[in-house]
Amino acid sequence: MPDKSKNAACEKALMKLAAGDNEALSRLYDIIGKRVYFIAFSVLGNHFDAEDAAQQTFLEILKCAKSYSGGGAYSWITSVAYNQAHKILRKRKPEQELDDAEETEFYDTDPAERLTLLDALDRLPPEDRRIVTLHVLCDMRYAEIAAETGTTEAAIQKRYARAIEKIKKYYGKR
Amino acid sequence: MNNIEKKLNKSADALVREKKADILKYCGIKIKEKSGFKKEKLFNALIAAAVVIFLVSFAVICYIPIAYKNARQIEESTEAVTGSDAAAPEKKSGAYIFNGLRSAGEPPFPLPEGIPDVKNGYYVYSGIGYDDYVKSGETLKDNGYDYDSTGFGNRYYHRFFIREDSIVYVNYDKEIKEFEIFWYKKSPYAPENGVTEDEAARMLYPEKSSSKLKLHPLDITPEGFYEKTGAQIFVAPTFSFDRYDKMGQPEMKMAENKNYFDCVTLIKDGKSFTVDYDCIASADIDGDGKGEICILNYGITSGVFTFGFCALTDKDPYSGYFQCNHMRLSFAEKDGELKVCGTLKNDETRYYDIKIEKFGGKEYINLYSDGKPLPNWSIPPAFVSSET
Repeated sequence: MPDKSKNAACEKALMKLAAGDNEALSRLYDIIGKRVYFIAFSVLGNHFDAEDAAQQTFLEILKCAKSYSGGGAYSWITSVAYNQAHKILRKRKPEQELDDAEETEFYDTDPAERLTLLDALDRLPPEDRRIVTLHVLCDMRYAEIAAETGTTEAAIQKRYARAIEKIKKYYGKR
Repeated sequence: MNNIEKKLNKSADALVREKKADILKYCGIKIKEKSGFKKEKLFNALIAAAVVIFLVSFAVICYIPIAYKNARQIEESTEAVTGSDAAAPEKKSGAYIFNGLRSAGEPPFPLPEGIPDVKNGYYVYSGIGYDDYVKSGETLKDNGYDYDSTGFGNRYYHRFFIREDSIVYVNYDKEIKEFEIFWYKKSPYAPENGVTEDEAARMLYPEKSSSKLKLHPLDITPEGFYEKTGAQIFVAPTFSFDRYDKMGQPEMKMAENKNYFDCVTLIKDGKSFTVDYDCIASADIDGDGKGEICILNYGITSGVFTFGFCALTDKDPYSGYFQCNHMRLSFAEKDGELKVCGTLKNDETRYYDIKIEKFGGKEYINLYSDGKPLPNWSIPPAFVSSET
């Protein structure tokens, strides 16, 4: 669940956007960009496509801001991000899967702690990576992830704890 | 939130912050710089400019009479030796025409602090920590460079920065704490009948909408076109399309490669030709008055050090595979000609003359140092033994 202040800030930025202030998109990105990006990452499993999905999401927000009827900006944007990510997933050819997975080894990484993130997160099995991404980076509760992935809250909790252990072990080796 | 979660979040924040400009640019929104710090910088810059203008004006007023007198004396003495209408030197066959040498000219950005070891166009800094490596990227951004992309392994880090006039490569070896930086000039020309950077990218990556995959016109040919074929020349620090083998032979097309490599792409009439490269320059090596696109590559052999030299022309490329002790390679301009320059492990630098020679009716590239040719694996053994 989004915290109220973030939802209110999203709402405000969306209203500005609907009134024709395109620069409000930048503010919106600051508030919810991380969630959009990592929602897409959780679906697509690589940074390359996640960036494409994030671009499409913000373009969609820009186009459709006027039709947004109010009430739950945070959830609305989240669902746009899911839709865009799934759109890319559907378009993706089966043989592309392997190639794109290889690409993440080299692309879209950056300084400082970036290695930490990619090394640790990318080395997890896809399902574990998805759970960690949604819980840590998209602020989703276990119950929400369980609903999303069609499993129980307890199972998600256990799996999450194991994934975090794996990341810790990986740190230990470095 | 535990420590791991905090670190993941911190990394994610940095990643998303960095992608902001690209993502919003895609939506047609340009990010405005935050003003506070910039205003302060601007104010300081104005004060500094005012002081400089005052000092320069004062110096000029004092200096002009002396300078004028000295200039007249120099002019008179030069005229006495050469005559006032000294002819321009004649163009030599095989001479250097136009180049895009690595790190040519003045650095287009402030170099990191410290004294670099400059070899083959690489500015190498030793004993550099990871934080300083990251800081160098921030300095480039402060100087108007856009971060393009990064590749990394467990030990090596590679980053690319783009500005209108140049491409900067920043590499870091975490294990030996060595940091190197070099740059290429981008082409200032936008040819009338050519393709733009975006069109070139769309042509090569029709299925990708990401702004990640980019091509950059290299400042290597006059007027933005390769004069022999009319092709445009682009480089891509990261790429994701078919390329040809190091010798530029189309029949040796390599499988689609999705890794990080540098490559150079020639584009003409909607067709492209891509070959990976380590070093590139343009020079007239066959003496026909027009330049060839010369490309150096490290060889594909293991155990024995080899490197490839490929010169693209309007006919079959000139090419050769050479064997020698391990060297760091580059092109260099020496005595008005393009040479292959190799730095050995003991820091000895060798220059090799480039010659096109005929063996068995076929033309090959040969490289000579002090009159001795480098062993060339491309020339059939019979000719090697008789000619060398």
